[in-house]
Amino acid sequence: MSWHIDSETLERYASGGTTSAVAASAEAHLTGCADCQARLVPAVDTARLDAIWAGVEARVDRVSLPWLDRTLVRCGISEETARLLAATPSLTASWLAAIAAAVVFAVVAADSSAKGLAVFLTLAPMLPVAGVAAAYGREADPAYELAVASPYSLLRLLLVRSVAVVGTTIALTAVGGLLLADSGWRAAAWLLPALALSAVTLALSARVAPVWAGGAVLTGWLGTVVTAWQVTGNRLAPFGDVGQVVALVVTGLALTVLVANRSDFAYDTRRSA
Amino acid sequence: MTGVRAHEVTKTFGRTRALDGVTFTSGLGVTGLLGPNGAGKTTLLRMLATVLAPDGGRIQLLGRNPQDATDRLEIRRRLGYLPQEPGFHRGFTVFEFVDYVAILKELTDRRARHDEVRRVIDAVGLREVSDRKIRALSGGMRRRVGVAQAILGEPELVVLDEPTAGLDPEQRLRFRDLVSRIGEGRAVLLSTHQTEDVAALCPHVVVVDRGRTVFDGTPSALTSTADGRVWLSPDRTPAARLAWRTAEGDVRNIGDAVPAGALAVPPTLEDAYLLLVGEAAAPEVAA
Repeated sequence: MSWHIDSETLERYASGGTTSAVAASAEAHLTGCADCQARLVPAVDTARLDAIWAGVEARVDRVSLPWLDRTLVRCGISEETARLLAATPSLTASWLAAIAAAVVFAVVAADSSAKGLAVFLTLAPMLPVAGVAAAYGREADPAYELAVASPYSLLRLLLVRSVAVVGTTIALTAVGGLLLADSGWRAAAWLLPALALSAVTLALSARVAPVWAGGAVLTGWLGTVVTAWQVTGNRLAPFGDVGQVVALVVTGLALTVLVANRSDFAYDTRRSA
Repeated sequence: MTGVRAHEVTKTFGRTRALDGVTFTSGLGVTGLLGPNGAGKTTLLRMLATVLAPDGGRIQLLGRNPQDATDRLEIRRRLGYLPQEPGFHRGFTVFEFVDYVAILKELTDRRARHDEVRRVIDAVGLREVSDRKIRALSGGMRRRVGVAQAILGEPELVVLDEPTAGLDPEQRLRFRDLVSRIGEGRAVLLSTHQTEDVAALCPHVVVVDRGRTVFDGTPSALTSTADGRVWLSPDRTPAARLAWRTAEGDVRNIGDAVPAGALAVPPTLEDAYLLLVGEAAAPEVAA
């Protein structure tokens, strides 16, 4: 070699401070000159090099996400939580389509009569319960056994999934409710019962499989609606002021019970082998 | 303390006594849990995987008590588990599914987690199908996905429930190789009803029959329990507890003692196992 890179240029090259033309000629020389390579090594800031490498690796490592994960990540949810949600049986496209179909049915059934509105208000709170019942548990989640044996809290997993399921279902139902706007505020009277029934399903899941908990809650709900109607003679009685207060109280009680029983989520809730 | 200690463990489902006092201790290396179908192997392994709580008796895993919440969390952090019928989210790809389990296993740093997911997928030889959906895989490949997730995060205790069931001989060989490598420096518990698996893999064997431990020791000690109790004859001998005609045309008999004049032969692990658990294990070869 007839020439070597002067120290100042070498320093600037090492810190990334040269123009690209100078960098290119320095690189061409460095590939063939052991002396300059040896002088370059101590001048390089390893922290900067690691940061560059980390950036490259992060890009290469980016895996393509399925559509649901992608949508969730866009909504500001972490990739990890998105993957836990993507494994939720009641967050699949087919499930959400079934919920949408049920909402359409309920809206069509709900003409302006009290009977029609009662059908919609009775059906609407049942949809999130079905979602919660199918969000978790041996019957719904094929890899449930692995989730039980993992250090991830089962209660947390159930809550993360249930919040997502109840949220999406309520959003879909709310769109249906808007179509019933001529019924006024009463078209929204399903919301608190929906939260109450979902909370009771969660609370019961500490002791029985969520599918059974959901079944029990739905049966109880239908019984309550029919009883209230028979006793008062008013189909919309369960959705009046008293009904709303009761729903709120039940929600609070169910969540309290859930928190109190959180240690029951440690093991498989199934009774038989 | 490494490994597993079980003392007088019991479990009842309704009116069925699934475990009726199981006691054994196992340390590093592969321990084979052998027993006929319905002996309680899966119930026991589900307890060792902290999925079920025992009704009675004591279990200690990695020196900790799975009944205690803090201890249980610590055990689960060091545990790998392949259930008997591992379920999969079939719409996930292999990578996505293993990544899902890795998230449940609290591998929170994304890049480190992805590296670990790729490592275990490589370890079971599924690199080529890593982007394929689970529903598109063969049964043998799915089982390997199950093993891959079980070795995520270098667990200290690995519980494998019948990992070789339904595999062809070549796949079974691959599995033995894989499991023996997993067993280096770790406590592995493996259930099977194949004595060949135990003979090939396990320095320690526990035999469970009708919910009770009936043997706990080395495979050669198990084999020697049948010393002087196996013989060949041209026809079935009345003294035999079990007898079957072999491919060579002789009848292989196992019983309490070789009758006078019969040709005694050295026992195999299978002979000893059959003697121990009797007809329950071998209705198809029963005399």
